[in-house]
Amino acid sequence: MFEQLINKFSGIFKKLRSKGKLSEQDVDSILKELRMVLLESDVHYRVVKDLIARVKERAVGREVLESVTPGEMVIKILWDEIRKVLGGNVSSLETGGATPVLIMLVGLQGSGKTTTLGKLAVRLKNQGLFPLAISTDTRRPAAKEQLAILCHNSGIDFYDDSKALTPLQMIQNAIRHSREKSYDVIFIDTAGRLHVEEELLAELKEVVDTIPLKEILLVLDATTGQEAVKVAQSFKEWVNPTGLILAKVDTDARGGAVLSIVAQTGWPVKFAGVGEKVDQLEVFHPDRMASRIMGMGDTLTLIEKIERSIDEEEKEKIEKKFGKKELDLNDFMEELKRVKEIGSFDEIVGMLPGNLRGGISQIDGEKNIKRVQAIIQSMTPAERINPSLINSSRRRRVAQGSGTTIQDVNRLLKQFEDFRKLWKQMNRTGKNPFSKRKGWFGWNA
Amino acid sequence: MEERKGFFHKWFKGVEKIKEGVKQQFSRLWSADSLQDEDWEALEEMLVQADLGPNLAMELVEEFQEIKKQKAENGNWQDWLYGKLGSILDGNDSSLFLSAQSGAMKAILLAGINGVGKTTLAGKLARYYSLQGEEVALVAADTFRAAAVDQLEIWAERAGCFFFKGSPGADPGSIIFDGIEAARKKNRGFVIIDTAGRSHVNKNLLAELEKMGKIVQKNFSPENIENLLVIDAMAGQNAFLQAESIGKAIPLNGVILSKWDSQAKGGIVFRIKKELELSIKFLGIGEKIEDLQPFDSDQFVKAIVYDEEVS
Repeated sequence: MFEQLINKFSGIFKKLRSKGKLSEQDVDSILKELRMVLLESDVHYRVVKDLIARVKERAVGREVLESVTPGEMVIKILWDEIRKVLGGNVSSLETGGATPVLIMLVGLQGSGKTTTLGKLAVRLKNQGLFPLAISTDTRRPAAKEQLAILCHNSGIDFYDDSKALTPLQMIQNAIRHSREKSYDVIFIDTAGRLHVEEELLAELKEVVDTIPLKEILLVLDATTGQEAVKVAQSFKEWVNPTGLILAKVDTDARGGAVLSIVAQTGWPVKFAGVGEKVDQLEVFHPDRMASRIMGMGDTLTLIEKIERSIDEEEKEKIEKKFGKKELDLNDFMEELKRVKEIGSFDEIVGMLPGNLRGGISQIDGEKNIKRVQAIIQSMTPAERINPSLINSSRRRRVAQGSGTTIQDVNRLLKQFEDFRKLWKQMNRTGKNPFSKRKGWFGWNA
Repeated sequence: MEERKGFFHKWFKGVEKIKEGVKQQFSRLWSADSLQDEDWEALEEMLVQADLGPNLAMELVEEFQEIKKQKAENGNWQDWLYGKLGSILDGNDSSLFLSAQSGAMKAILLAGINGVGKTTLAGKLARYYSLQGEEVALVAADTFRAAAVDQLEIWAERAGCFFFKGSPGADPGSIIFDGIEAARKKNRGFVIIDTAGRSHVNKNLLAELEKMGKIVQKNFSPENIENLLVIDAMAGQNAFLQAESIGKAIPLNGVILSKWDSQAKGGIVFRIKKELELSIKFLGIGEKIEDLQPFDSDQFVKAIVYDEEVS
């Protein structure tokens, strides 16, 4: 569907390219299509309406760059908005405070609570914590057995007390047990309940009101439709969860439900379940999810292309205005950071074209990147922009500050000078193989 | 009779929701003289929120606008909507084994993604057909999910039917094979097979399902097999992709909608019928073993459109 859409856009809007700015009419006709895409992705009707209005506001009158179509421009703006709603990148479980820390999972029947609980417990165990799992689900046949077996198979301790009559008693007994054995965290599985079953929600509320829980996580099935918003409303009213976990992300569901819920509640999405096995739990990536909701799969290819084009053009404009900017040590460090994030140093050097490989491998090995960073960080902002300021007394200071020697500092400055020359040369000859990309080494951080 | 009333009570709790919205919106728009864009938008919103999908929702709105213009000659909106929705569900047949030979052994194979409610439905179906005088055998072919076999065994006890499980970790295909054999020996002519939930994009799991389907096919003639897809009533548009993809692994004979009591408005039934031409067979309407209701499309549409209570 999205493919078709892109083709359609490029068809319709080729003609519009000469226009300088996005007109209201352009934007409306694009948004009409995008609205359908979002609804097909199960984003709630009102949330779609809201998003479309915001995008329109941001898009109308915006200058259209030469390298992207108006359609792409609007897609990018929508993507930005969705990502913004979905929130910051990484959020983890709250496990601080007095032990045992209590983490409870709630949700509808079949949303994936028990499997998710196993995954979370294994994750914390791998981080060196000592978790205990309990189940308060006495209604579904063999629910406790499911958790017990899951725990047994993945080396998590499971506790059950057949004498406990209510979920509350069960948890209280588990806390007592946990104090004796000094567990760090107790994961509490609950019976699945519909958002319309008030009796069962009241039972949860009793637990929440009586026992201090560190986290109450709502497990949401990624395939949920428009009803998701009501589910969230109801759980918010009764137990006020601290976050969401999105399950069954390994289907091809676009997962618009998660956007609907987050837009409505502001809950952070803590993790995404991507399979049936206990290690198939991932940190939630708002940017990938945004692409997925827009039907682009969860790769960022298109968005990256657009971003790159926009960056490129804006950079060119700036360059035209202010003349070519000189490469400084800040850029140099940025590049090193990027390199570090991408992979091992050797791998990266191997990926570089030959003429640059020489320049880089002089900074021999991964270890030195850290040293280089330390040296640059010990310089003043002015020194980083203009390294020629760094006279011998400054060199001594930098060496001391970074725990290195003056020779190290000298070597770095020399390497930087070489690098700068090389870069200039490539720019001049227009042969810079990376000039079309973001980042001189050709990768996006 | 009392029990049947209980059924309908639960069922209508779901329908009631659609009905309220439909009634309000349609009658208001029908009688209003001049309408703004927002009014049409409100109608569309209601339809989309019922999970009808944006396309069908827009189609209904547009057609309604036309009908309203011709209001003078043409009866009322209720007849139009009844005709419209009715035509989508037209030909929906909820009965199973329509052309099965009498006395022949039959099999139901339940498939679906994780957590849609297959095991619970297997238990409900076992009871439902036991009450109709069938000799039911429940076969637990979900060897992946922890305690799924124990869960089904409890349902089998409650339904009072024969139960078959393989050794833990055994291949689900071989369990089905052995289960059918065991049922045959015990003279159980009605085999219900519960399978593991599987993501409909996981190739290996689909291949496994395909194999299971073939084993059933080898043991029964096609008219004695019902491969039923279980879909969560709360599922959104992804339900179609599930049906499409699972339908490639095994030939599907129909759909069971679970969790109907969630008050999701189940607009999905229209799209499943319209786009996939699969009949809706049953609605799962609660957690108890008797919470199962054959899907009567005419009653369903009537209940949405007209005021009268359906008996």
